[in-house]
Amino acid sequence: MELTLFIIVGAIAVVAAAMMLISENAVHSALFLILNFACIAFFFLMLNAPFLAMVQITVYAGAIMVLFLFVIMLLGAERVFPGAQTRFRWMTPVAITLAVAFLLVASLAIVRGDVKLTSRDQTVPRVRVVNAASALDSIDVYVNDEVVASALAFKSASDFEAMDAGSVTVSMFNAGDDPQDTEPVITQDVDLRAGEAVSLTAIGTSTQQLELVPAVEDLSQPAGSDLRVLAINALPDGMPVDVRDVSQDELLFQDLSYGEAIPGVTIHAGTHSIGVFPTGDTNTHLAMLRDETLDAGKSMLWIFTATQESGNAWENQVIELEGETLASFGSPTHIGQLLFGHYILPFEMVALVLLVAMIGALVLTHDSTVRRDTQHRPGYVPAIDPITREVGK
Amino acid sequence: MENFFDLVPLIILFPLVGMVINLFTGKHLGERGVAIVAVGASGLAFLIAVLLWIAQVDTGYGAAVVNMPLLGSWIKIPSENIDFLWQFRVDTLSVTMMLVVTGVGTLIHIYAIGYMHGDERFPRFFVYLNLFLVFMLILVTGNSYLVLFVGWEGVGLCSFLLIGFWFDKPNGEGWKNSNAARKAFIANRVGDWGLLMGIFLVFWTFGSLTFYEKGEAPLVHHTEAAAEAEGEAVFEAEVPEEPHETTAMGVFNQASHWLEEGDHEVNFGVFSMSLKTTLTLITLFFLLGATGKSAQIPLFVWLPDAMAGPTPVSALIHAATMVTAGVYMMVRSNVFYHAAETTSFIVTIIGTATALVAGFIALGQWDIKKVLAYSTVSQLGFMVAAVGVGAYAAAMFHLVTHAFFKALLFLGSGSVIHGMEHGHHHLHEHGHGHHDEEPFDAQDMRNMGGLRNRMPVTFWTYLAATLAIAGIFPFAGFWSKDEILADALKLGTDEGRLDGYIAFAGLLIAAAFTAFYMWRQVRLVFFGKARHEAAEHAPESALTMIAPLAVLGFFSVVIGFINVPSNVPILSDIFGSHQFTSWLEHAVTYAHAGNLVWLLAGIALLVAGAAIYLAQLIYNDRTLDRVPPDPLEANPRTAPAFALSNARLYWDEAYYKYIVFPFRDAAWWLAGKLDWSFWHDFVHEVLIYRSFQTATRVLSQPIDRGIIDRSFNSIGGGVQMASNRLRRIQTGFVRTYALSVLFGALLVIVIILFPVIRDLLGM
Amino acid sequence: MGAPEVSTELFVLLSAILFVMGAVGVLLRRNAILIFMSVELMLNAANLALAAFARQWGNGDGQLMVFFVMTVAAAEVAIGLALIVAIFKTKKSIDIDELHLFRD
Repeated sequence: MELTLFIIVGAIAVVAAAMMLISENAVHSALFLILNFACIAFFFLMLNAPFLAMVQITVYAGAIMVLFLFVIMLLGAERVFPGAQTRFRWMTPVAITLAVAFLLVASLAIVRGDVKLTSRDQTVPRVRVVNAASALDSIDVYVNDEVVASALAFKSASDFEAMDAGSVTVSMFNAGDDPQDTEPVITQDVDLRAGEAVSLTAIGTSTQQLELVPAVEDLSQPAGSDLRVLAINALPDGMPVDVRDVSQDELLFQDLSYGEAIPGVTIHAGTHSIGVFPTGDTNTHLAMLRDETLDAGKSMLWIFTATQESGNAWENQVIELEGETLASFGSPTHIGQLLFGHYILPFEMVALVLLVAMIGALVLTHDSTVRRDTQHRPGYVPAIDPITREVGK
Repeated sequence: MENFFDLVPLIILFPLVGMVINLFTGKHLGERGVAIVAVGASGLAFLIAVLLWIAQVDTGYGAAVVNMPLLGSWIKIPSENIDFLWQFRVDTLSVTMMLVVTGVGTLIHIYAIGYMHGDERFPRFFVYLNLFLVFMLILVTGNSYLVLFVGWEGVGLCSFLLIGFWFDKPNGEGWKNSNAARKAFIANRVGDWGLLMGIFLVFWTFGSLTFYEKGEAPLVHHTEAAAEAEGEAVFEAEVPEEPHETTAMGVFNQASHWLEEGDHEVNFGVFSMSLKTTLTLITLFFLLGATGKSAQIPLFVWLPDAMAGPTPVSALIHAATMVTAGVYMMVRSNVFYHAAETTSFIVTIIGTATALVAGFIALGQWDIKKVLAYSTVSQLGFMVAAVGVGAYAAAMFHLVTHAFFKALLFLGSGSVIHGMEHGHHHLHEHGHGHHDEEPFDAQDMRNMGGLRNRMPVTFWTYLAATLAIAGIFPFAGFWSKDEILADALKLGTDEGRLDGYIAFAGLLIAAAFTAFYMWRQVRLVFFGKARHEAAEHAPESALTMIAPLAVLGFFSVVIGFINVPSNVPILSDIFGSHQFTSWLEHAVTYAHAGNLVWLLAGIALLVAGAAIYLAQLIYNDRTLDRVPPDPLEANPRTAPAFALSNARLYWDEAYYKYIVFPFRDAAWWLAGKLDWSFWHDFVHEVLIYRSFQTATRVLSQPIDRGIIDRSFNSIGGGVQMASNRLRRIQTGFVRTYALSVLFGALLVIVIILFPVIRDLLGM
Repeated sequence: MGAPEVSTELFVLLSAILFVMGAVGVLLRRNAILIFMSVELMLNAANLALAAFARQWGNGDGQLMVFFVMTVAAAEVAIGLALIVAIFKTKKSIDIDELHLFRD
């Protein structure tokens, strides 16, 4: 289906281009070019680039070509006088030969070149640190001796940061300790893979059972009205739990053991009451999120833990953290993220180029510019004149 | 008061500043401004000299060494460990000279305002005068022979510039003036060579040129001091008990130290000499320098010709100050001269001979200034002879008195000349007289006569100076001349030295000559009838001219009292005895006072009086009217002597015949044969020029043009041809460029895909 | 993201064809405006290739480059058309063969 469409639209594009070339009337050429541009916009859609397709139609086919048409009509330059004999008759065969050679070489490159490589996800791993260990105060976190978070308080998380893929050593220290002198409270090796977002979660309610859980999230956006949830069991007694959606009476996570991060489950957006129960039990909940409104398109991280109140009583808690998802490929959001993130400097420069072009266009078409070379500015006396007068030549 | 010594750089700075101001703004200041600046500079320098004098008296005549600001370390050769400091020495000797130079100098500056009035180069004259003061003061204040030499050469330069000041006078006079300037300069060069050699020898011997290091007092021989101590008021110099370390000693104390040690040898590399011999050599070289600067035999011939300069110059430079530099230098080196007995003998002979010869020549001169010039030479001979007999204090004393009365004589003569010129001018203006075409010499005494009444101030001051120079009691010359005579005789009688007797006899005759020619001059100029109409109309000079005359006249009378011998009653009570000698003793190691020998004084006075009386007899009112010829010339018995004197003993002619002409012939021969024929024609023309020409011809024709030019031309031609072809590509049409771009792009892609294409073609 | 039905090569081939056509237009047409439009065609061909490779590698950079090319093209069009207007004002023609300002 797609291939058929491609062949049809491609043919239209080629024909439009050819017609543009051979039309005697420049207005016709412009119209054919617009058709060609429309075809290319269609191809952009096929290539997962809806934003580009949109821009192609509005800016290119719209604004720029309108400008062309306007200039053509303004100058009345629809056609060049056919009577004027060109002095480059040899140009036609040479150009066609060259074009054919070019096409041949390009085809050769496409056919014999290494174009068909397997698709590779280039997205770099993204990492954040979550402090869910009630036994710890605030912590400093180092990845391969580099600080990623400092003075991170309990129940808080750092922002996602891009990192190189591969195995890294994560060390956590009590805030303010010198990493050279003191032993880390937690140290663990973690594998980072491309296309993942990892929440390095410190858990533990006593200093003896501190642990680091790498919770791996999927970066892709949940479809439609869904949201993705990831849960970590960090309750003090270490028993496995079930997580149920009480309002829908749906088992979300079954037999979630201590320090385990189960790959995310997808649930519908809406208001839910989520309860945490000991495995097998459905009556006595350990913790409960009542009437939570869950928005679509998000990725959530739930951590079940407890803080010690006065005496030995434990107060169970659920830490809710929002995860990260990436905009879909080629969407305006995606392009916007890139444009205002990594490409902000080129974007500014291009904006400057546009500004200069605007001024340039003004200056070039200004009347005095056109005539400037034929008249002297008032009061201008060429330096050569007094010299020639003196010399008498 | 010791801080006052630090003022000494100012004494040079003031004239220097005055000179610079007049040099750059003289043309705009006008005569008045220039005169104020120049006289102000000179007067301020005199003020400094007076301050230094007061400071000297106040600090107990302590000598001070002051470093020159900015130029302190003047010449420095670190690798040789040589460091010549520009230091000033303020001691009684240098202060004496400063007082004389600036005092007389200031008076002459004032006089010159009137004398030079109306001269087109008025500012330049004062620039030169101030420059002269600068160098003269450098000469007398320097604490080393090197600084002294700087001043020595500088005053020589100023002398040259001022003698030739009127180099553009018409009727060949300008030539004469500039020739005189050259003569002075060349004669001085010979003397300067001697001084320079002496300085080299001093440096070789002592490794230093400094007179006395800082804080060093002159060493005095105890025996000498004790011997002198019999006389009253001989000051005991601050004699250091232990000799100073040899390293930090000036040359004089070093010499004394070594002489006391004895057996010191000076090593000259291949041979060595005893210190005494070396000192003799040094002093002989210094003597040559002094004969040049102080116009002694054999180099005195320049001084009479130097009268070509303006009269204030003759007074300042060629009578009062510069010519005494040689005497000053010898007195400064008295330690050396005292040690070198041979040299002292030669010095005595030369001084005496000069005094006699110059005195004799002065008898037969017609030019008023020439008489004074030879008189100056003669009096300088007195001073040199005094140095020779070891009477350093007497030499300095005569130097000072002579500075006053000889300056006065010159200024008086200038006043006379000025009056004569004005009188001549007056004749021209009023048209009576028929002398328009006749050359008129305002300096010729034959044209004068009877000026006594027309120029009274000039006459009376001139008379005072004449009596002073003739040695009439109580004028200044009496005291100084008598002291020299007494010292000379004492040397003869006390030590049995022949040169003492010679000096005494010669100088006595020279004193008689002095009295005679001076009285002759007074008679010829001021008495009798006017022998020229110009003399009848000569007016008295302006106030700026006669005021200095009066001041100098006063000093000519009284300056002798500064050194009244102790055995003169009344006067020594009033003025103190041996004041000047006591003063000098602090700086001049071997200065000693001499008492008046009554008999000798009587004889000298008698001789002078007799000479004056004789002159009065010969140049009586009757004979004066018949001048010219001179009465001596008219008398057949004295005519040959007069002719000889008038011809200046044919001294110049002898020089021309035996030195100048042979020298010139040799120079011509060298120039013609050696330089032109051999060096120029043969070596340069044939050997160098021809061979070079041949070489260049070979290099230029086949090599340069044939190979190098052709190869580069062909490269250029090739580039031109290629570019002519290539420029056709540049059509100027866009489409062809686009084609090139596309072709280039294709080429790049093909190159990138080259491996793929090679695989495809199975290569 | 399922496997694309239309392979990248086809897009690149189409891009090459359009590019060559644009090049031929630049070389053969004498109307300055048409030459300009041909240049635009070449730019779009390049854009197509860029977008195709962006999908191939699943990387947004390629699409960003397309965006920048469009922007610069807009600037270029503004300047180019201004030039054409200026030339037309003096020469009263936009026949590219009548312009040889670069020479003589």
